[in-house]
Amino acid sequence: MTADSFPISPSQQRSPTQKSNQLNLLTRIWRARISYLMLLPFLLPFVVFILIPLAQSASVSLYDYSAVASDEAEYVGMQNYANLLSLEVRELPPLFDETTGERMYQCGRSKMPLSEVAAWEAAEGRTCVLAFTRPRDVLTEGFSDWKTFSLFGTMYVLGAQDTRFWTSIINTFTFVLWTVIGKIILGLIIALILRRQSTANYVLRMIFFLPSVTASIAITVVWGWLFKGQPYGLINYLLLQGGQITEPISFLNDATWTMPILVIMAIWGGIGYNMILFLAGLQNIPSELYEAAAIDGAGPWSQFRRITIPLLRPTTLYILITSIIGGFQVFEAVYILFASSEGMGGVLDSGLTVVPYLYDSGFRLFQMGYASAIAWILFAIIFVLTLINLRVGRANDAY
Amino acid sequence: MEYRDRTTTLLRRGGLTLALILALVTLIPYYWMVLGAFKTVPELNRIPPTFIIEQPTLNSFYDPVGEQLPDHTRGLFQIYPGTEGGFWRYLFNSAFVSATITVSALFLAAMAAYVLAKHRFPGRQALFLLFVASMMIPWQVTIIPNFLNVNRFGWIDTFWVLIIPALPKAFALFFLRQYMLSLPDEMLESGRLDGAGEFRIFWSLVLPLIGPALVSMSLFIWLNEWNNLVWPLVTIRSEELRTLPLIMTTMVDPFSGATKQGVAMAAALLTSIPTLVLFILFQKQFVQGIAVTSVKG
Repeated sequence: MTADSFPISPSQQRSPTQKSNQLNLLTRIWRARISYLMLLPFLLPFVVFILIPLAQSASVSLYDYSAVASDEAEYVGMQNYANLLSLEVRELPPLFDETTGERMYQCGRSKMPLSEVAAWEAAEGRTCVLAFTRPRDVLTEGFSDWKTFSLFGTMYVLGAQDTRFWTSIINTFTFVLWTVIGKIILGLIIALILRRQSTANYVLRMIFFLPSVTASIAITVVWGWLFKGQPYGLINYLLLQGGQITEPISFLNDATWTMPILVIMAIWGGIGYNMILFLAGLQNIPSELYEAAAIDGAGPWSQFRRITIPLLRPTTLYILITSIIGGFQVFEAVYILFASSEGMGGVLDSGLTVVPYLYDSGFRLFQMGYASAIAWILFAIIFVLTLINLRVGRANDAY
Repeated sequence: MEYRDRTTTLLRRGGLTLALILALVTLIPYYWMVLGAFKTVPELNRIPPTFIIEQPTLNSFYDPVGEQLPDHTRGLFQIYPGTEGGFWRYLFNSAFVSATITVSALFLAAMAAYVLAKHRFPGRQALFLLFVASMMIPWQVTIIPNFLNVNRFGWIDTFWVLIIPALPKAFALFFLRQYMLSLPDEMLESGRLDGAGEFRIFWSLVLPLIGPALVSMSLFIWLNEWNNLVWPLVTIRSEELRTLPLIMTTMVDPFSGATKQGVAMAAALLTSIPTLVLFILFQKQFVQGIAVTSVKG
């Protein structure tokens, strides 16, 4: 093959397009065979490990597919999605005594009418609460109660077919909200502080960037030991020393601490990355703008509000989108610190986010169809949030 | 004007103080890791903890005295008697898999990127769009069919399963293609006139010119693979094939005291040292590489 016979060079293909259109398609394909040949080593694994699995995933999500008995896969249509997503709200009717019609109260484990409540409370030293119908008596079969709440004096129960899925969704949104806020604000503050070029600033920047480039998986282990409750780790020690607490906290076994720990670790690991992006954004703001503003008498705060913030908007939007996408995919930290043989999400599923739940369904319970449906819902959420971000970002740019 | 200067100075001082404090907080886990890896068992158990090592020791890596509690325990390189080579084997597995993926994935992506950037042929636009669109798909969507497929291929518990499915990296292709678009066509043309074949042009003209892009991209891929937990978790069963992230999952147990802190810190240290060394060597490329990672989203 010589260069002359090879019609892919730019000078040749810039020849009048009419001429190339006259060549029939097969000839053009044949002449470009080297191009296809060089594409093939990439294309082949791409098709086998991305394209085909993508189609398979959509298909598997329509089956009741268990990997241990894969030949018994049963087509269930949208059932997996319906199971995951269905919610229902039911009113919880108050309970009345059947004979007297008195309002019933829940006292400890037993229910009693209002007339007996005072005596029970006096005897037990505890208080009674209004009794309502049990959630499972009003929910449709297959639903279990996820949350109960009262609205205008009426009790309601929010039921779901898969309450763990909804827990994982709420946990993920909580995680994403706090990490995104923390990473953006701290990343911006640090970028502003370290904005000027100097050796000290360079060293500090590298320190903040360190968590983004060192094996995050190893540092997660270190965090685990820092948060350890029994025997207690450094963080418990410092809090005890400072007098904030008197007893060591079992951070890793305490449902209320699971999410704060995950958020702290994620913010710690993400500040430096955002800082670098903000620094790049700041560099693109012409210094003349600040000089002109200073001459007009604008102080640091109004310079920040009227120049820095608006001109950083594209950077901020980009960080927002990537942080949200990354946040929704959180897995390693949850798995390393909180997973146990009973489940992926830690105590009371307090750390169960969407991807650990997907892993739990797919690789612990081997419900492959169900797990695939979770993956597609995750994809849809990420996709929609990205679109909203882009739309909002554009709308703001217009003004 | 004078008032304003004073506020600016105050802001600057306050800012620098804040940055210093936050930087110290950032370094705490690293400091604690290094400290823990070189403390003796009694020193690790001491309350209050020591912040400067009194008796540095390598016992958490290898303890000649071995399993003699309370003052000694087996080190990191002694606790895997079931695997030939012990912890060395896991270091090797991780290094081998990450390096192989990085080199091969970059080669494939670069070659495809060259064709898409510099050749004209039917289907070129469509293929490029396909690759770019695929970057939007999170790995969670394909992991289950991929697992079922490799299971059918009989690849579970082999090196193949760790390497081959990781080869197509669309973001690397995209990034390298954008980079190659700026290469002058005249230069490639002169190569063709000299009678060089297309592969030859790619190999000896294009690749050397995109060196910086390749370095940034390879650091990014390597780091991701070094940290990759999920895929080995679902496809590796045997002890000999475990990679470092799999070992890491056994290093925290909030419920029992079976894992020893010194050993965990030693393992964390050895897992992060290669990444730390690369970072120190290639700071500039890492920072520039953020533009690369930005592609991934």
